[in-house]
Amino acid sequence: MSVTAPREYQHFIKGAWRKSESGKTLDVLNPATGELLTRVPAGDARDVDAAVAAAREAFTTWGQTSPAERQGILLEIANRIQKRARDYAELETLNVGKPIRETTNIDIPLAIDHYRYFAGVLRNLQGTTQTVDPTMLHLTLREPLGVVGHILPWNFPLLLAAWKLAPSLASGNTVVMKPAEQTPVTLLELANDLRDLLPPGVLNVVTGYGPDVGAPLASHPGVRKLSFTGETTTGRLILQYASENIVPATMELGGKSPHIIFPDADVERAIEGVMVGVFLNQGEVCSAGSRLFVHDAIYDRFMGKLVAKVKGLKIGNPMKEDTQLGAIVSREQMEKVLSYIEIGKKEGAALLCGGTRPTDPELAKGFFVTPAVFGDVNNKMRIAQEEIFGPVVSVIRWNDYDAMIAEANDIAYGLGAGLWTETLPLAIKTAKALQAGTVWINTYNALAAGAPFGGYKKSGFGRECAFDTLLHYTQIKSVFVSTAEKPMGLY
Amino acid sequence: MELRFTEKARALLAEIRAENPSDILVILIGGGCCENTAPILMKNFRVGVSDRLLGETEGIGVYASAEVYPLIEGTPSVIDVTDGRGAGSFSLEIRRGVRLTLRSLLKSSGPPGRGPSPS
Repeated sequence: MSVTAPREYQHFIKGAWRKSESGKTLDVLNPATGELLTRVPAGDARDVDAAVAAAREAFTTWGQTSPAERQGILLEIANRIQKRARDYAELETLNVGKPIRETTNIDIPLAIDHYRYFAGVLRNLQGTTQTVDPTMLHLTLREPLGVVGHILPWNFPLLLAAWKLAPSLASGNTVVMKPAEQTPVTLLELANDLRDLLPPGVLNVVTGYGPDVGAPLASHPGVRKLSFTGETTTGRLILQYASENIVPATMELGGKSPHIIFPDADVERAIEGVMVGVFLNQGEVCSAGSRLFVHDAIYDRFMGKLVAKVKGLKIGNPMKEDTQLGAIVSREQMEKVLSYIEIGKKEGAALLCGGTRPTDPELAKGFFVTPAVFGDVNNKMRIAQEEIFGPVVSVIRWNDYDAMIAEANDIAYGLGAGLWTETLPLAIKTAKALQAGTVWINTYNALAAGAPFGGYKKSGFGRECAFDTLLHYTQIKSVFVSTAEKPMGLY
Repeated sequence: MELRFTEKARALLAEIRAENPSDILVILIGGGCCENTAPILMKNFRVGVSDRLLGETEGIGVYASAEVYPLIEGTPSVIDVTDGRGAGSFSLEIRRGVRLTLRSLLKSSGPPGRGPSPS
């Protein structure tokens, strides 16, 4: 290991570290060991006020920068992360518990790519013109909104910060970000690495608990847009704040995504896809393919192979290069996952493997759960309807296409969906029938800059990662220009 | 549905009520991302027309949203307090290093392939 987190961080406000007004701190743990990783401020409304004031002040100049200047800065952000890519990957692994092979190959490279993507695409953020009549021209300007308040989740800290920070900056906004209290490290590192690049106040990071920092930020009258990734009930509260201040919001909420195996699926690839779908990041992925529909004709063969593979997963120290499944982010989350294992058993589902704390004494202090497969699940069961956010897949047997599609859609959420078949017309028909913001055909959990990501139904609204995202971070000004040489003669 | 509170939960809610005497306090049973089906205690949350009242203590109503209600309806449950702060919500108790939990009081397992609720 080559990098360690400092013993303590402060808020990052107006281009500098700043102590919390309250003087209180909160502990940030390494979930793989249960040990203290660092401490961050437990901020409150006063810190949020200072950050919003700094962001408002910075907006007066940042909002006027040229697209070319912002493009250059975003490319440099990408370069700076790239230069310390290994540090970022290690810190993310130490803080979140996810395997180093994931942070190295997914979180950090994808985060870098989003800055590069938005650096490029921001040059296409243009208005329209029209000739209204021979003496009237109309044009539209796409203008930034002002201060954007971002509330981040704990599962992909640096990557999801990129999803929000890159388009915010690309379109000329300034930001106040609240990382999840469990996982603030990489965003604070990034703020520090950019301190001579971004003008003071363009990026502010305030740490603390949701009710103390998130709520004052989301309800702040100086914030002109909100973006939230997290849990549905909190999303409702944030939308109430947005309604009070009449500001737009982007919501990326929960999911319980269906993953469908047709009888003609390429079984070897599909099994790998199922595992990517539900064991990537220990299943702590909002688009996890956690409801698996396996066709009756291949159910026994498929499940036999799947369970054998799952039993062979290498769970352990996430800093080891060959670890496939790391630690759950916190003790509380681990306990919740384990409680769903009990719920599933009580509901009558068959626990085919996993769902326990590992017996390896080296892992005893960390928050690990062995990967679990539930068979004989009914779509009405809680383990089929509620987001477990852990390494647990609930498998439903199906044989009637229409009934299966109805069940796949019989859920409050609509974030992702996946399907495996070698029959193209069936794949397209099914992709259209599924109510989800992303459908994966013969793959799962693929993400790319430029591919819009967001939810149908109660999984939220708004799209991240794509050109459309820039539209969410700008407002339209309609400008009429008259070239008439004489009065109209009306008055 | 039957909803109970443990003594510890009542005491915690009384404490938070005393600190926020003039605010509307509401518990909504959350669903989705990060929190699972957890009670989320919020200040000045406006209850929606489709939310269902499950119980009340200390002038704090406990509600379930329209999509969560069918999952817990008919399941006798208890609101309790557990050590360890919550997993990232806006729930008011998390800064105390504890979290509210909703536990099912279901004891027996249902027949295979059936839902949890008789209703």
